[in-house]
Amino acid sequence: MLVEHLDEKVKVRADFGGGIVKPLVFMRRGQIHKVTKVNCYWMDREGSAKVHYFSVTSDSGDVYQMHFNSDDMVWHLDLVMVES
Amino acid sequence: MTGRLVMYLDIDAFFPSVEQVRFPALRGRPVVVGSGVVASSSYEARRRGLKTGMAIASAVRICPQAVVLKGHQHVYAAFAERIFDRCRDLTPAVETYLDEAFCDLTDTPTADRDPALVGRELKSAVKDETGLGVTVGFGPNRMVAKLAAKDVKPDGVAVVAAGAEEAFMEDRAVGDVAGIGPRSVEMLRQINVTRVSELKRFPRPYLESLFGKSAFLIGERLRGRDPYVAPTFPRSISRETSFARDALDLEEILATLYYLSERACRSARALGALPGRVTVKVRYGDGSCETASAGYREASVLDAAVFEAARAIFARIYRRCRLRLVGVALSALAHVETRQGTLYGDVRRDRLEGLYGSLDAIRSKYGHAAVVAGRSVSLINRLERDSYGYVLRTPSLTK
Repeated sequence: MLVEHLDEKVKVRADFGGGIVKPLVFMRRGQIHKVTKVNCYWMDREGSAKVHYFSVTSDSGDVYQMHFNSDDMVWHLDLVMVES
Repeated sequence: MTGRLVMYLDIDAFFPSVEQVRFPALRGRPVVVGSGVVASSSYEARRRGLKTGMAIASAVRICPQAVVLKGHQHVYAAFAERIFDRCRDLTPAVETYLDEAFCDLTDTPTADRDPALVGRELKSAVKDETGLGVTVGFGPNRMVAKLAAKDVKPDGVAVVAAGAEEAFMEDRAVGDVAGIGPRSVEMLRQINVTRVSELKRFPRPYLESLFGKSAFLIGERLRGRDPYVAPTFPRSISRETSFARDALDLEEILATLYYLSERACRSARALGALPGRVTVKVRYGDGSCETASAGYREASVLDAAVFEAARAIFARIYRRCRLRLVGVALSALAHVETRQGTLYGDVRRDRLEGLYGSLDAIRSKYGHAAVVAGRSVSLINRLERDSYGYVLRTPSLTK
């Protein structure tokens, strides 16, 4: 198993309904990836900012970790897990 | 259930389980989390003979298929906190540790419900919310609740009803009794005592000759009673770390010691704790360990003063050999309100308290890494940083 660190800003379409954030689709390098499953979610802090982390499986089968910073409202792709 | 009711919750194979939830491809595979040594292993890895504390190199030799991960402390803490929040829905009296919690349900509405049902509902809620499995034990005290859970790990629920605790303890190994450690177990084995039922027959004076001041507590625990009450204030606050490579550079060692002192002091100030003692621990490259301590006389928790005390202790014990680990602990903690005031005030102390108060406020808002002290600035090129500060190799927690 290989984990590739990305640290990229990404555009994400998300559902904020019911006070819960759920990423639905994200665009990486011009390609649209549909989130087929949110594997897990956790919340951390950077100082006083809330940072929402997600592990998601995309329609290509790859597993990504992404986060959403509630202060600057920016989504980041942290890493992708690739089966070696 | 009448009387006291304690619930114990343990997160099954915590670190590897979180990794398996984050990366579903790891499910069903042996996963080991640790750096240098195995900190935790999944049940798949345990079935292949891997154990906590084993060197990673040995673990990979025994189980070449094992996936070894360094671990992500903040992710684990975030998961644990979500689980502990579910416990707080049941009672405000929740005492949490890294991957376990004791919850006193006495006199709560939950105490009137069937504990087994409460346990199953809690497990289900935790599974839905985090994907993690937990084991839950109920009993009339902490020890019995924990032992009940131990019997049904992983993913179980166990209840020991009030009144059944003495019978529950009867056939257990003496090592199960809280306060009887491996050395005592070995000592008892030499006199052919291995079960609680055998040790329980010993008269109190004999127990005193074996366990000294703890004899009363152990005598009670042998009968399934546990008068232990968890302290509301920590006994010590310690921070320690091992180096990525054994360190010989004094500047690096002292910078690390300063950083650890700073972290311990910030925790102490947040708790309103004033230490009476500073302890320094070192472990050398050959594995030998040394600790020494000294009294701390200041009436405030000041990073620089604690570091100076720690540095003096360090200078006393350091043998100028390669260091594998360094740590600092603040102990003999008292509440800061109990300190002796001065008749005319102390301008210098007040100014320093104000300075550290401001630094703490900045760090609370922007993260500890927002301000780096000059004494630990040399670590910037040596260690990774995140918003929590330097990423230490083996960070420890408040005890």
